[in-house]
Amino acid sequence: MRAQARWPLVFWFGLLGAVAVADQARESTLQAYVVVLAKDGITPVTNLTPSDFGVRVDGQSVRIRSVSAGPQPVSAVVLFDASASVGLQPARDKERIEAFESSFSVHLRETDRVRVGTFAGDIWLSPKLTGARADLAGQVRLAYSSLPAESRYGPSPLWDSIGKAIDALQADRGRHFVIAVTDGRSTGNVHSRSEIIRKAVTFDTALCFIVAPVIPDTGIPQAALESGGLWLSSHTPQPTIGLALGRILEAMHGTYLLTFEPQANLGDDHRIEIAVRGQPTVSYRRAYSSGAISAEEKKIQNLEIRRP
Amino acid sequence: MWIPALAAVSLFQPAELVGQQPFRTKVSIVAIYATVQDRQGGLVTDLAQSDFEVLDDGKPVELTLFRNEAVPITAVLLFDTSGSVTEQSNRLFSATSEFIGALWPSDRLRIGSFADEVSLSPLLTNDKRVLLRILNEVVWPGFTTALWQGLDSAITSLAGEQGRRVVIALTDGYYSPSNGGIPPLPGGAPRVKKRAAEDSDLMVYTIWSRQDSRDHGLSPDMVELSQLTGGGHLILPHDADLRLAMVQLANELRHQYVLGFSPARMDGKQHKLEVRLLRPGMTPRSRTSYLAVEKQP
Repeated sequence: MRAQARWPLVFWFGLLGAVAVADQARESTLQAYVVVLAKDGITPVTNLTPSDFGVRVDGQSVRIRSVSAGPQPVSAVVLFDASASVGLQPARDKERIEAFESSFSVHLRETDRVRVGTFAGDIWLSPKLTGARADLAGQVRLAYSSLPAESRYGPSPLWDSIGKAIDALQADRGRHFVIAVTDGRSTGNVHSRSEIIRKAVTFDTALCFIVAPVIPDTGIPQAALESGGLWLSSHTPQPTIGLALGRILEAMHGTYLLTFEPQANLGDDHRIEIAVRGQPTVSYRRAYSSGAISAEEKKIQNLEIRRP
Repeated sequence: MWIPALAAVSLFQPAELVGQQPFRTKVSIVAIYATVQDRQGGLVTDLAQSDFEVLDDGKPVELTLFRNEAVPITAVLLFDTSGSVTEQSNRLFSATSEFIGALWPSDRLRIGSFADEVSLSPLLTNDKRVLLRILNEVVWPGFTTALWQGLDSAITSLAGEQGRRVVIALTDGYYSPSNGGIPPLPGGAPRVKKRAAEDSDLMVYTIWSRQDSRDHGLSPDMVELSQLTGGGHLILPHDADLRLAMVQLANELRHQYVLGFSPARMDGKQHKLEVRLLRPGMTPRSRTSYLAVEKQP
């Protein structure tokens, strides 16, 4: 009862409009990954118990069946914006490659699986998911060297790249997320930001961003919020891309997995609200769908990108 | 100089173009897209074949093709988003939404931009919702002006399209090289002009709105490029109604005459072209040359 009484206070973080679709359509229970960060906005809170959580679906409280604390195995794609607007000096590429190797790779756990990619006029993803650090070191170098030089003076299709990354994770297990290291300028996309956010929610893939320098009105905070991801910028206390990569990976490892029972006859699209007692930063996907994947979502899933 | 046409808004009737295929030139026919204006700058749209005379290297030719019907638009709208023109670009973005709104079902548009990067949308589409979304994506200002790289890419992006193809450049046309960024286009401005001059189905239009009284206006290179292709250039005062100009541009593109003739020989050389009107008080505008080579079907 006490927890119920505190709901209005706990829901200070609000909800954006949500759309979604999804996975556990025909099951009687639903799952949601939840990242909880301490007041510093960085440190994952990992000592919570089921009684600390509250879940609402379409505004109605639902029963939580289980709460599984981390570490969760993760499947991730790390994308680097390699277009001219982020800088074309070899030193800049090297900085990002070394950041990945020194701060991301070292935080990987045995069960984690990762692909890396770059995007500019072309989108390049490493051919397979791997957890082998030695392989990943080679792949991130290959990601930069595989982009044709002229492609780097082309557009920055951030949202198409993320769409492709979501596809690349489909067949894999674990907590799915994409990290994009970008300046936030997004051009030359076939698919809109809202289509890709919907796709991320549909396929339960958290979208995370490391944005430097910060450019307003990119839609990045919205994408992170609705998909259950995170975004870090130069305003966040993280001095380097490497540290930011490591912090996001650690946060995803620290994810809680909640299983809960929605009411019957829910219909198609539903909004989820998750509150955690006393914790200001809670990240989770904001919606799900109990319906089958529609033709429109199949269209989004089958991204086909032809560039002029 | 292209003067905005004064045709009535009622000309925008999409029904007559529904289902119509773009005009396709036959291999051995040289197509000329001609705009005719009266003394007041208004579009003249009711001329007959007998009103025209075409000269190939100074010699009259027999017209084997004449069309005087609305022509679908297949175009790239190319924005200069370099830092020096940001203020005007924002006004042009707003005006472009009017242009998109005036599209007919048979029209197709690609939106692109150039500054530090050249960014062309992969989509050549009639979907107004998609076009408006893309328009909102190209607002990022840059520092350099990759003008010739942008124009070259825009022309290339339309290369596979049949019939008349149009590049509408919203720029002052002044190139500024990048220090350590995007490399210069090999051949630069002469290369783009040569490509445009040799492609008889390509037209380049340039629109620029002065930022203030000190604005140097449109670059001579862009004026020449527009004239070579039979397109037009428009320099507007800083407080001009850009939305009206964009809608009028759409109107002009729709109401061009298509004149065609079969050259006596395809000698591989550049030929001078001249379109004359046999009626007084009217001025034709069309490309000034063509390359006498067989087109690939």
